[in-house]
Amino acid sequence: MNAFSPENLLSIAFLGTFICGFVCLLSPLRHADRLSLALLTFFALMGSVAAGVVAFGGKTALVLPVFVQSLPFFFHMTLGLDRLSAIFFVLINVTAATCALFGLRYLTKHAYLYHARPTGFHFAAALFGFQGILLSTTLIGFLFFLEITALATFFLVMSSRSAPSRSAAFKYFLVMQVSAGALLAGLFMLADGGVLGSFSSLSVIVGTLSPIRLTVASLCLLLGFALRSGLAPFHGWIKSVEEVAPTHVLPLLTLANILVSVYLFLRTVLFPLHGAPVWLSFALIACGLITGALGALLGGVSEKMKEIVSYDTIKNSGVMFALLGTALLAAQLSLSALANATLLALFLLIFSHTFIKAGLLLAAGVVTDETHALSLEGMGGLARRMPRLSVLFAILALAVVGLPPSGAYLSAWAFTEAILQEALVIPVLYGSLFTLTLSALFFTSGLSLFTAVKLFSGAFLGRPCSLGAENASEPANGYLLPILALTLLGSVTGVFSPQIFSVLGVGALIKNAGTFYPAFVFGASSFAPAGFFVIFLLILVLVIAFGLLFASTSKRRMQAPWNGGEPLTPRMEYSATAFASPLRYFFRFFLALRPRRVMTVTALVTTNPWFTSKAFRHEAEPAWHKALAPSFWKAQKVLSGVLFGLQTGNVQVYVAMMLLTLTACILFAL
Amino acid sequence: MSPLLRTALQVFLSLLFAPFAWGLIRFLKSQLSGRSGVSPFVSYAQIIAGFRKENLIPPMSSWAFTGTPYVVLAASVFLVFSLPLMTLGGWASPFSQFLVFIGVLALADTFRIFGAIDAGGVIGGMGASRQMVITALSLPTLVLIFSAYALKAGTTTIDGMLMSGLTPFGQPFLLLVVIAFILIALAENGRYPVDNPETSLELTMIGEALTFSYSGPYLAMLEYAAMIRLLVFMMLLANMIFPFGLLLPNGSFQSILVMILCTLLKISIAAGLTALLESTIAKMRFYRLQEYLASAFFIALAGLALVLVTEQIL
Repeated sequence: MNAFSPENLLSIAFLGTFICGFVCLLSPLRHADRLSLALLTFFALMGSVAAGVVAFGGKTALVLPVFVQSLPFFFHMTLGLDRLSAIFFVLINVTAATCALFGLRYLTKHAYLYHARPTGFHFAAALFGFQGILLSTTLIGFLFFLEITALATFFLVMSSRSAPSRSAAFKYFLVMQVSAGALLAGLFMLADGGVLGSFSSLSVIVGTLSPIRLTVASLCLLLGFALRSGLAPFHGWIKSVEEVAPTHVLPLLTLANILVSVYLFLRTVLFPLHGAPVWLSFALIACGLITGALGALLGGVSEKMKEIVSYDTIKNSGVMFALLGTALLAAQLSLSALANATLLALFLLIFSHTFIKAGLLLAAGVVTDETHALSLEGMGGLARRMPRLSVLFAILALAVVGLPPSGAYLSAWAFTEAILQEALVIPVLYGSLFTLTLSALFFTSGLSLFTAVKLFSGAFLGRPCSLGAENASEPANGYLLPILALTLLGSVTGVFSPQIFSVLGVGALIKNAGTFYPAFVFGASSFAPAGFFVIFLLILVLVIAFGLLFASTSKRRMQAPWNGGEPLTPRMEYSATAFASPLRYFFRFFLALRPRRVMTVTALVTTNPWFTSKAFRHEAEPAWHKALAPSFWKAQKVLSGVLFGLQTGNVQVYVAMMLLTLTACILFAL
Repeated sequence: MSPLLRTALQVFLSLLFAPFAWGLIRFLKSQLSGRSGVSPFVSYAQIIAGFRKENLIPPMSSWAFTGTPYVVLAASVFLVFSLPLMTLGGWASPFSQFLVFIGVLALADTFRIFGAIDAGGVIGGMGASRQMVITALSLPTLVLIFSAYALKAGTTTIDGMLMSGLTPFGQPFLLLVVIAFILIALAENGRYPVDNPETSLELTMIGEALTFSYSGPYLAMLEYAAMIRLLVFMMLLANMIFPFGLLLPNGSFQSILVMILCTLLKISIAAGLTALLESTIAKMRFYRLQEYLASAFFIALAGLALVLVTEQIL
């Protein structure tokens, strides 16, 4: 066999990732942590190239050589990739490579906060776990790697060793374990107890199961997916994790988990489980839409930068599961055209969202770092201080909401086309359901646009609102390059998506439009994103040329805007809180349950209503939290402190914990 | 006549007529309120004068402030380039899909807001916040409006919808769609009852607040873009109700003249009705706009539901 064959490259990348962790932890070299991250970047890219041969090339599957599978810690599992897992493998590994590159500078700069060696080890272990999940062809292998990932990411969340990070890590650990247990239970039932079997055997076994067992299994799987991908009401962990975890691991912690959920759903439910109960589709659509709307709305009224980005992640997770539910329902109704088109929309969203959101997470981390502020209220005016980052951030923020020709836009376009072409040929009940789903998704998109504009303008435009923002400077290239790479990847997957997807097996939906560029085609409709991009760019260039030639744009004078007779200060500027006040007022009934600010006004004299005493109170914890679970949260804080004590860097402790959690999960599932 | 030539003619005429349409509304409003008013052609002088003036740039502003006028004007030009305002089956008709139209509108609104906030003034932020809410809540309604139309016409391109020859007179459900479109068109263009485009009272401004810190050529560009956008909505609405007088692929020289006359007629009627509406109703309080926008959303949803039901059950 050729030494550079995809199988060999994939094996080297997989084992290399595993070894990187130990290099970081055990190597006597002084800069072993940096060496490990550099090697991790290399191996992740190598793995992406090898998986890319299956995802985008002629190969249909890759199986790792026997000597790799016979290594003692793989328990003779069959490891390999088919096209579906290869796509997810490429997405996760490319994102991880850019994150590792970002981490090179990030960990050096934050050496006072994070222990570089354990963090590097956990990062490598988490990536190894995610790679293993995608390489597993058996249920038990999948669950084994899921546990490795859960454990490694648990320690990553608490890297800063602060009390909030411990609390968030424990919450995360709890969610991941319950999710793993629910998935394990569901898969046990679907596989009729034979978890040593392969995924492909599921579809055969599923046909023989009783309706009750199928229903219970579906419920367990739904719970597992909802927990892992942060669907409402289990979305809290994404927000708490993104607020405390090191910036460079955030994409792995949140995006990779969502990707794995989607992958597992496709692998275990959508493809083999067309006979699943119809309520599962309805439940998925409802959960997805509620999560999407909730994420978009809460993002719009939040002030902290990372919190806003987290809510957008939650929103997108909701949208993905609404699309999955629609695809499942379409498959159950034998509407293959709608199911295929919805899957295309899903993959367009996944491609775009992974790169764009990873870029946004890294950029948000840089901004909070440079300004020493968490809230938008302490930012502002950064576009003058960091023009290059501001341009990248603007592109990322506009792409994430789906302005043309981004991948999110194309996803919405494909879904709309499919729904509108099918709505009149299916029963009116389903037609109405699909069009209602479409309306709800666009309602969410509108709110999401609000959030993105607030996020960018609050941080980068206007006047600096704090000393930190005033003194901020353009981040180093070590930060900018990974963000630039992710921005480019996100843009390319939008503009050139017909070319990319033509090799992904949806060639029937793509044609050379003749006039412009390859386009997506649904019936009589077609759209060429590259054509749109080129035409818009040409018009923009013409308008700029017109401005330069015929308008006196070069005649300019610096002049502060009218200030109503008062010297203008940043405090007078419209704040991020005020920006969202119309939205807060319009949706006050939906927002009643979230944390709120309370102003108590007491009259000092009865004769004059203007003499008052005002007291301001910020209820950081929602009322229902306080009422229902005070003792639970106290207990989880104590427990998270105990678990934190185990973060010693001792490999044996990690292995013991992994086995313990695996045993607990199996017991729970049984 | 080739599609490219027809598209070029449409772009030229749209850019030419846009200030006239804007000025005509202002003129007719003056007439209706008993004033003589300025000529509709003063808008041209206003734009040209703006291009020759000096730009005042806020010292705290960045690339977003200077880039905004170009992006907003380019977006408006793209709309007249791609949409079937005066001709059907134009060169760029594949890009007349309603989601492209809505996406480009959103892009323009987004940059207008960026420009307003970047000036760092007291008024821009307030207007930006209000405009953003209007945009966020009106764009989903536009999707519903065109989805209903698309379901009936069997195509998602606005060009194809007009080619199908559907009118509210022949298809009563379209009446709901047209009403919702009128409500959104008024909101998107900052007209009564959502906004007063001629206000000088800063606290009630929405659209005007966005351009408050702009001057000279940049202000002229933004105003010109707003005029083009108004023309786009007027022509789309007129074509939805009366899809005649459009230049067809096999059009002759005479049909060009007919098209120009029909366009001027449509602009005059739309401007007259807008002026009449603005002279008879009061501006709505901003915090009541949720009712206005929600009404538009549910009217459009009702239109969509009606299409589904009538097509499948009746």
